[in-house]
Amino acid sequence: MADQANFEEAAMPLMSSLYSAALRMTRNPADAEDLVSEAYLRAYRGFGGFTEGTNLKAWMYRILTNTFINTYRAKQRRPAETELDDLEDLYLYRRVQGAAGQGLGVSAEDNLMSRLGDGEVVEALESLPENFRIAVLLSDVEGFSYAEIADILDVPIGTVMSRLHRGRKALQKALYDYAVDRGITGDRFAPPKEPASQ
Amino acid sequence: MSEHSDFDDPSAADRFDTMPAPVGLCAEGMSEQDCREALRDLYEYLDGELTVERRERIRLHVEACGGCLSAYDFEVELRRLIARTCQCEAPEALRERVARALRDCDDDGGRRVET
Repeated sequence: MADQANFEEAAMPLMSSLYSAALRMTRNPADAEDLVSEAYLRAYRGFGGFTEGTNLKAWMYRILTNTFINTYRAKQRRPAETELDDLEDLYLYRRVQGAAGQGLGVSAEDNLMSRLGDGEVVEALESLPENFRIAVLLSDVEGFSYAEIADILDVPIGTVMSRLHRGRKALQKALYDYAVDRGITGDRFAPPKEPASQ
Repeated sequence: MSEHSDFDDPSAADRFDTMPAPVGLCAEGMSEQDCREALRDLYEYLDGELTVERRERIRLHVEACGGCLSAYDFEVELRRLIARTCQCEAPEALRERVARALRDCDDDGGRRVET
């Protein structure tokens, strides 16, 4: 059982990480600040239930995620689970590599990466349905293991893997679509086959 | 947790019926089956979720196969880009707000509430 007197010292250093996640969950700074603030209060009140020596960061993320789902999801009236298109593996790479393979770009992928701005990456991530967005965030940004994510989201590991798999492909498609829309790719990136659009 | 038979989600299991096609530039002498397996396991490899044996097998293949190496490098770079883009500092005002809220919580007798 953790002593509440230790909470501030242990939990405050995690705030930037939690705030970053909150920002991607709520998609706006004001709601993100409210969410983090509420999560810290809940965590503080419930700190007696935290087992010292276990993963505080995962425990805080669990509270953050639950607070988001209970408070903000209801507010946003978003569907709990949205279907994603069935996309091929390595969606973005296959398109970039298709262009390079045609001798159109020596390092097409480096070019794409350096030209995709932070805004495009954030927009692509925020365009994902919530369940997929949170799973990708917890893995790709925060580096939690499948088991930790399963615990944070209270779903089976198979569901975590499925959400990551589909969420990552959808994220790559969104990035590719932004790249095409904004002329980043020019016409150097020919899809390998009929794109699975919409 | 790294054996594929452990999948308990039908949509996750489905993908093993449709192994990814190798990417164009795979080196000669590489078995197509090895490339398909390496690409199938790419994310679990990067996520650190494979068994030691499987991880080593994939590593040996990827180091020898230019096509798979290129795909792995691409995904590593993309992940770095996503992680870098999505990390930001909490505003100082938020830190102060939370610290204040925790103190107020003490004043309200909010200490030691069990959940």
